[in-house]
Amino acid sequence: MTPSFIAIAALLGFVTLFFFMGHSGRVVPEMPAKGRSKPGSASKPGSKNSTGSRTNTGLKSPVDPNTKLAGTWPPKSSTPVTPDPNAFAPAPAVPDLDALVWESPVPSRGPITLTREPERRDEPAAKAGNASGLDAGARRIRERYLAARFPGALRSTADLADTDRIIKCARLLFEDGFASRAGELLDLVSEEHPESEAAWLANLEIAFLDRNPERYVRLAHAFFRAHPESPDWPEVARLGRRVAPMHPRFAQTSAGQNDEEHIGPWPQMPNWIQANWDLTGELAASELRSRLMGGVLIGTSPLQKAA
Amino acid sequence: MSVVTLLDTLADCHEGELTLRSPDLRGRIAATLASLARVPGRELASRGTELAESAQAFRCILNRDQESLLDNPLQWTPEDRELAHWAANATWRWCAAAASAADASAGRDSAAALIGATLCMAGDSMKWHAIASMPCPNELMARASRALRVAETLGVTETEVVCEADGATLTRQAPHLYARALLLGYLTSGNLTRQQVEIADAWISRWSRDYALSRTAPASGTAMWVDVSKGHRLRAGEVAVAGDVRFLVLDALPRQLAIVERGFHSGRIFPGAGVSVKFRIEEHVAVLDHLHRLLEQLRAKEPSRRAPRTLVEGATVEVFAGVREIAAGARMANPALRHPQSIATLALVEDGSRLRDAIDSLQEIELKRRWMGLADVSEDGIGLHAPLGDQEDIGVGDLVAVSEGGTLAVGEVTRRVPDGTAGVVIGVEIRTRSARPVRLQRIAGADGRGARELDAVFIPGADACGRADALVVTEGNYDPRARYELAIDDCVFVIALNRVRRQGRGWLSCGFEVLDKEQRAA
Repeated sequence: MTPSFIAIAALLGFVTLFFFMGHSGRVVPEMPAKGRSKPGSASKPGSKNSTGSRTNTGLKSPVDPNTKLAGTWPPKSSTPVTPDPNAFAPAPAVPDLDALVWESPVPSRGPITLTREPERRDEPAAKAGNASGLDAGARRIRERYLAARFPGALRSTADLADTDRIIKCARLLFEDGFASRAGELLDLVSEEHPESEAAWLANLEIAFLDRNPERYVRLAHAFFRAHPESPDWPEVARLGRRVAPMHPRFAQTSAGQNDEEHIGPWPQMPNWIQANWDLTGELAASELRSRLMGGVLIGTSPLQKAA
Repeated sequence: MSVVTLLDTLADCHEGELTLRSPDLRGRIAATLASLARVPGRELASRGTELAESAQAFRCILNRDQESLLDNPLQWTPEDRELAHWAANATWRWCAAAASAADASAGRDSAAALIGATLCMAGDSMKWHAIASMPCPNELMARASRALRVAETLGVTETEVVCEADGATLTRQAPHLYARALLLGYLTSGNLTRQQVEIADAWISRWSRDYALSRTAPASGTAMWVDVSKGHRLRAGEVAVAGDVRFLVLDALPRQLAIVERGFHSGRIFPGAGVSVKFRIEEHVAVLDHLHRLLEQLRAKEPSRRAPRTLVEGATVEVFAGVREIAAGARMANPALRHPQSIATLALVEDGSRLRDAIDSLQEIELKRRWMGLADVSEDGIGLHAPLGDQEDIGVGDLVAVSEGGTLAVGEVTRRVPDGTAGVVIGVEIRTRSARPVRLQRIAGADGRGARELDAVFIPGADACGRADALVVTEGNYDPRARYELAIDDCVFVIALNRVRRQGRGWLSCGFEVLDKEQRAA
C-alpha cells in the first residue's frame, strides 16, 4: 500500500466519523439574519444565531469576528437555540434586474450538421421598423450601425430626434456627393419619428435634386399616407410634376399655382433642406484656404516629373 | 484509392471534431491531395460523386476553423499564418484535382457535382489567398473559366449543385458559382481586409443566384465582363478584346445592398449566420461602401479608367503614416512649419513646462523614419514597394504621405498586394499633392474642460472656393460638437468639424464650416 492510499483512507474514515457525529446538520441554512432571529438575540456575542451571518450569502454583515464559524464545534458555554417560528419565512423579493445579454452565442464545437438555408430568406427580412419594437441585441446592432454609417452625425437612435440637425447633416452629405446616404439618414428619421414632417420634406427635396424619380414617387406616396393633410402637399406635387411628369399621383393635384413663385438657394426650390442663405461662412472658408495655400507651389511635382 | 483515403480522413475530422490547427491533420490531408494530383482525371471522374462530396465536407471543416483565424483582432501568430497559407494552397490543389476530374466527366452523372466542386474551390482559393495575403496562382481563374465552358458543353449549367456556405447549405448552378469566383477575384485585389473579404464572400454566396451570365451586353449597364477563353479576371468598362466574352449582369446588386441596409436598421446582420456576422459593424459598413462605389463606377457614363502608370526604378522616398507622423514629418522637413517647442524640448522639461508640449516635441524627435521604394507613379496614385516583413503595420485604409521636394502628397492606402515572394506593393491613392499640416486648438467647453491642441492635415479640395476642403484628424480627437481655433498668421478662424467625408484606419477626413473669424492683435 502506498502512503497516498493510506492518507486517502484515513481522510475518508475521518469524514465518515465526522458525519455520524452529527456535525453536518449544524450548517446554518442560507437565510437573512433578520428572519432567523428574535429581536435582541441576534446581537448577542457568541450565540448560535450570529453564526448564520457568516454563511455564503455573498453579503458582508456586521457580526462579531470572534463568533464561531458554521460547522465548527460549538463552545460549551453557548446557549441553546430557541426555535424561531419565522426562521423559514420567505426571502425578500429578488430585485428586478435587467436580463444579461450575451455578446454572441457560444459557438458550438460539436460535429458539423448541415442545415439547409431557406432560399431568399432575406426577402421577408427587408421590412424595416423603428427601434421601439426591437429586442436589446437588435437595438444594439442598430445603434452600432448608425454610429458606423454616419460618423459624427449619429451616436445613437436618440440623436434622430434632433430633426433640424439631422436635416443639416443630410444636406451636407448630399452636397458632398453622398445622396444615397443622405436619403438613408432621413429615412431613418421618418421611420423613428414619422410625425416629423420636416424630415419627409427634406428627403423629398434631396430625391428631387438627385433627379431620382423612382425614389421621389415612393417617398411622395409614403408622405401622403403619413401626412394626408399637409399644407406642403401642393409643393410636393409641383416638384413631382417636374421629376415624374406622367405620374397620376401628381397629375391629380390642381395645377393652378404658379411654379415660378418660389425662391431659395436653388431656383424654384422650397428649401426644405434648410440651406444657409448667409454666405459669410463660405467667404471665411475661402479666405482660410487662400491663407493656408499661400506660398505653396501648385505645379508639377517631382514625382509627376518622374512619371 | 486516394479518394477513399481522403473521405476517411475527412470523416475522422467530422466525428472526432478534429481541427485543422493540428499540423498532423493538415499533413495527412495535404499528402492525400498531393496523391490525388497524380491520379489521372478519368480515374478521378470514376469516383466523381465521392470526390465532390469530400470537397464539400472539406469546405465544412475549413469553415469551422476559420472563425478563430478571422474573428481575431490580435496580430496573427506564426501558427495562424501557417494555417491561412495552408488553406490557400489546399483549396487551390482541390480546385486543380476537381477540375481535372470535371474535364473527364463527360457522360457521367457526377459531372455537375464535379464542376460545382471546382468552382466552389476556385472561389474559396481566391478568398484564402486574399486572407493569407498571397498572390493567386495564375492558373486559378483559367481553371474556373474552363469549368464553366465544360458545363456549357455538357449542358449542365442549369443543374442544381448542393454546396456548403459557412454554416448553411445552398443549391446553386454552375454560372452562380462561377459568378461568385469572379466577383471574389475582383474584390480581393488587395482592397479589403481579411474580415471584409469574408463578409463579401458571405454576401455574394447568398446573392449569386440573382446574377446572370450573358453572352451579349445588357442594356442596363450594370455589368462587368470576362473573357472565358483566357485566365483573366472580371473587368469593368468597355470590352477590350474579341474573345469568348461573358457579361456578369449585376442588376440585382442595388436591391441587395438595400436589403443589407434595411436589415441593419432592424438590428439584423445579413446573412444572419456564419462567421461574418460576428465581425465588427464597421467592417460591414466598409464592404457596403466598397460595393456602392463599384455600383457608381459601373453606372458612370464615363467609367473612371486607371491612369497610365510609369515604372520608377531605384527611387526611394520617405513615407509618413498617420496624422501624427505626417504632421510631425512635415514640420521636420520644413523648418518654417516646425513646432516651436521642438527646438528647446529639453529646456521645456527642465523648466517644468507643460508635460504635453514636452511629450509632443519628444515624439517629433523620436519619429520613426520609413523609407520605401517607389514602384510606379501615376497622375492620381503611387505604388510603394516594401520588403517582406517590413512595414507590416501599414495596411489598407491607412493615411500616408510622401514628401515631394517641399510639398506633401497625402493619400490613402487602397491596396496591399504581394509582389512575388520578395515583398509587397502598397498602392496609394493620392488625395492631394499640396497638403498642409495644421495645429488646431480645441476650445474649452462650458465647464472649462476639453481645451487642448491637436494635429491635423489640411487637404485642399478641387473647388477653389473651399467648399470641398477637408481637415484630417485622428479618430480619437474628433468631436462634431466641439469648436476649434485655427490660427494662421494674424488671423484666428473658429471652425467646427461638422461632417465626416471619409474615414480610414484611425483617421477621419472632415468637412468643416467656419463659424467666426478674429483678427489677432499684433
